[in-house]
Amino acid sequence: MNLKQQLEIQALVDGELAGQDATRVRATVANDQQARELFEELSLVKAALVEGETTLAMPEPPDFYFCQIRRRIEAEDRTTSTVRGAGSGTVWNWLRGHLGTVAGTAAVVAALGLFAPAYFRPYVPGELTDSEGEMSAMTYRSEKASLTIVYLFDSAPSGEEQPVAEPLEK
Amino acid sequence: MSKESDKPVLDDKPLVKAAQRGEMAPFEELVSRHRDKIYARAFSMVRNEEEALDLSQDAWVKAWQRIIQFQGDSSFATWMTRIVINLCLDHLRKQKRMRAESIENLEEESGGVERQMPVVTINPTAGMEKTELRKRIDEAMEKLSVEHRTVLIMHEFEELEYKEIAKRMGCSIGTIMSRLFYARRRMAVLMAGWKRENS
Repeated sequence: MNLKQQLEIQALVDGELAGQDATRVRATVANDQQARELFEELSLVKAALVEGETTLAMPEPPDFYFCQIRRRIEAEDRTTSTVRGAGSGTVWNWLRGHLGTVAGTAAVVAALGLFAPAYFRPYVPGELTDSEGEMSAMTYRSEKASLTIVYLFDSAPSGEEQPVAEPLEK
Repeated sequence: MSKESDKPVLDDKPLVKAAQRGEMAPFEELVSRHRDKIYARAFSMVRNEEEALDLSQDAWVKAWQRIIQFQGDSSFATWMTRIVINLCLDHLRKQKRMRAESIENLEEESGGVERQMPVVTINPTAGMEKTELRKRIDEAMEKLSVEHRTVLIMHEFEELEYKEIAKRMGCSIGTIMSRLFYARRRMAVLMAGWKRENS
């Protein structure tokens, strides 16, 4: 007998074969002594296991056992609520509390964008220019007066020098 | 199963319903009714008292957290046993990752020595006291590899079909059939040894 045949006999013992397969293997078991012996052995082990399943009692006192379970449940609950509190729950609670304000602000902004005159709208340049290269700075420092003056000016050819900095107190 | 038939059958449904409403006392009663079975199943799989206690407690915590999902398609005891089995399987997988492949696994891959052993034709358990039989079965189970023992437990004690065991263990039906076969043959050989001892 090869392994496939042996496994088929086992499947018959376990009731996992149906139809023609079951009929064929049953015939083999009836006619072949080796197959029959294997069928009997597997059935015997099966029966012995079901009959002889070990029953065990808890090695710990029941109260102590449940006490530990309860503690674990409470610890898990605490972890879950902490995670909720520290996570999205806080954001959601804040949003719920300020929902009116948030919604109102959003509505005003939308209305301004749609209906306000053109000069209320923010200036959106067609293209962005980097003015860093066209800016220059000049610093004047007086230790006696504890004074520093920084001049920022446009160094582009067409620009006029415009001191824009406030004196910085030391 | 036969062992449960000698115990009075208590209805778990009212306790489950109350536990689903968040009441802890009925849940404690459920633990009290089924703790031995759940612990015994964990122990049969991991063969270690401390780990079995830990896993069985984990199973009860999981049950509490998921009790709302219990629809009553099976008995509460069956549902609980499935939870503890899954936890044990995860635990055994983690252990397996840590240990080297066992000799039994290699034997399984190469065909196994059990396949070549002569068939046991006499009943070695005939006339054996039930207590003695249980003790012997337990000792024999200890001698099986984790993979073989797990398949045997899931098939014989939990009455799961090949397909269901394969799904839970994450392997093919062929592998399950082959493991079950070698496990039974090994058990048969061990049982034949008892007969020789007695005679």
